[in-house]
Amino acid sequence: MPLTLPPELRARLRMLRLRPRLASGASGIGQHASRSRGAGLEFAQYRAYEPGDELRQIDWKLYARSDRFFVRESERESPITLWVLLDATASAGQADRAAAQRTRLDHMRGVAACLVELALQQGDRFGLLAINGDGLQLVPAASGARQRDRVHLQLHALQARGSWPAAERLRPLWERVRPGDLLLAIGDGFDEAGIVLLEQLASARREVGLLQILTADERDFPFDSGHRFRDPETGEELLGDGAAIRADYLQRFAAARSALQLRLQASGIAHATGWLDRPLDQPLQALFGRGGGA
Amino acid sequence: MTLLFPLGLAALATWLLPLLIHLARRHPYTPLDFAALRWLRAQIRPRQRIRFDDWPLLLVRLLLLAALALLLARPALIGPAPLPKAWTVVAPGLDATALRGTAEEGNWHWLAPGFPAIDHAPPVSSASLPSLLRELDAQLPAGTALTVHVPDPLPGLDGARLKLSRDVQWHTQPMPVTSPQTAVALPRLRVHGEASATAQHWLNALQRAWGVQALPSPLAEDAVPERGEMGVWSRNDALPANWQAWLRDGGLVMRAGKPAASARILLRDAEGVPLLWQQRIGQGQLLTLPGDWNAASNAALRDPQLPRALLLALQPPTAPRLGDGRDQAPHRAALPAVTPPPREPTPWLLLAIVLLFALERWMASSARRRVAA
Repeated sequence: MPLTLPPELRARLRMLRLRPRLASGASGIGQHASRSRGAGLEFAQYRAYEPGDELRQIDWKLYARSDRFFVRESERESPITLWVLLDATASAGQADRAAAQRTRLDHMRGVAACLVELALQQGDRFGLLAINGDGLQLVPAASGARQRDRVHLQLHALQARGSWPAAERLRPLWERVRPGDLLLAIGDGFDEAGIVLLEQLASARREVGLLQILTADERDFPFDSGHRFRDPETGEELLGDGAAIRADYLQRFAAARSALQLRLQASGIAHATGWLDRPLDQPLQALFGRGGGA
Repeated sequence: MTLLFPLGLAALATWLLPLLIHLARRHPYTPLDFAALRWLRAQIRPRQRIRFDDWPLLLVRLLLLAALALLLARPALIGPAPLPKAWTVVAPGLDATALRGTAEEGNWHWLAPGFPAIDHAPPVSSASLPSLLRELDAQLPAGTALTVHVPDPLPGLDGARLKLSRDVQWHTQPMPVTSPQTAVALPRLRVHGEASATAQHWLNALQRAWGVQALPSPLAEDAVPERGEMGVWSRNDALPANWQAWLRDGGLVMRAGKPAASARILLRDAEGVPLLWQQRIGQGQLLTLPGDWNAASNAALRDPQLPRALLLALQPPTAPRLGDGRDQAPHRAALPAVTPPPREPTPWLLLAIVLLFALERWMASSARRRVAA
């Protein structure tokens, strides 16, 4: 499945901006407001002259009006680094019964491609962190169209298998993702270790968001006869009559989702949910759209 | 519709086979990936619901088994065969096309064994026409009108008058018959050489009573009579060996004396006294007169009825087999109702089974193809 985004989706993506809450003071010129002020395009404030300021920064017209030296300051715009973290454990291989060809991993690839497209629009650096049973596969952060191709290549090669790896195998992640970077995790959010990792990253001053991708079957539970349900990661199996356990499941699943939301909020992790039968950009609109969270 | 072997329906028990296979196949559920398994609670076992998918295929298979069971049970149709209202039969030998003329209606058949349709070539049959008519009358349902065309001197008559259970339109067509010229040869007596004069005298009288010819000359000493002649052994002793061999090969010998124990009485006189005994020996027969050859002492030889009765016993007159066609028109009589033979639709059932089998194979293979695609 090529990761080409349909034109109407691209049009909607053009209205979005990746807006980190934590301003980074890093180098370069980008679209993101930074807290470091100085020479720049956008006016920020006037402040009184202090010894050491360059003479060319003094606003001479204001001096003429007020007979004092003021220095004109602008906000500098700087690029951020976006990390897309993909949870490609075996549960990502699940698909809806209605559309058995389209797995959760396919949807997550699409959402990742949308994020890459957004970062590319804004001139940001972006990298990919893909986690499955084999461990961590990463594409180091860079910018530009060739970086997008590298990320797409890696997304293509990705396969849903295994369960969440041990913390030691994810150590390269801590070396790459620097404080202040924006890290958006795309996954089902069912792995406890994955949530713990996000909490740790958030408390270590990384800006973290979770785009939870759930299937329509998990939302609606449309099974009405006997089935043998199998957890793809643990292999655990459960015989159940769909119609009989439906109400109980829906209640418990909703409770688990709200509990997860509370937990993420407590850690300051932005959270949005995408469904397999909804458009790819739906969680992005919720997070970054007009009036959206961060 | 009835079943000749209702026990064959026990084969319907084989219905259990595809049904059980179909239901047992359902029990192992195909595993379904479900990552949110931890929020499922398994306190309720899945109900074993009877679910039929692929039910058209199952239905065809059940139908196939039912047809096989029905074949075993041998269904038979009891009701009268749907026959046309009118039947017309023509005796073979008559010109059917001329009789038929332009009339296309009516069921025209030959009056011959099997009653072939009139379009076939005229069958050559020697069966008796009245007998065939009785058979046809028994086969046809009560309502069917019958028209019969027979030749005018009606051949093939038998002892009983023709009686049918229905009114018959009886048409006779004059057809000349050549009555078989059966020149009835009168028996000729042949006496052996040493016959006494009294015996010769009586035998000569007997021969003349049958016909005008005289007694042929007596045989030589050890010669046997010719075939067709009636040997007369006038001595009281046993027959010589060559006469016995001739008798066993189909000869006819008359002697006088004491009859054997196994002989049966052929003729009696007016008072019931036996006149003549008959005994079969090999192919031939031995006639025995009581007493001796002397007509003066033997009352049996003087019986006036003996020559004629003996001739009738030896050559019984043939019954008349030809009769006037109009006179022989069948009478209507209340005959016992004949139950028509049950008709078994076995070929149609076999055809249905073959078609069902082909359908089942097609459905099964196409279903597999659909899954594989």
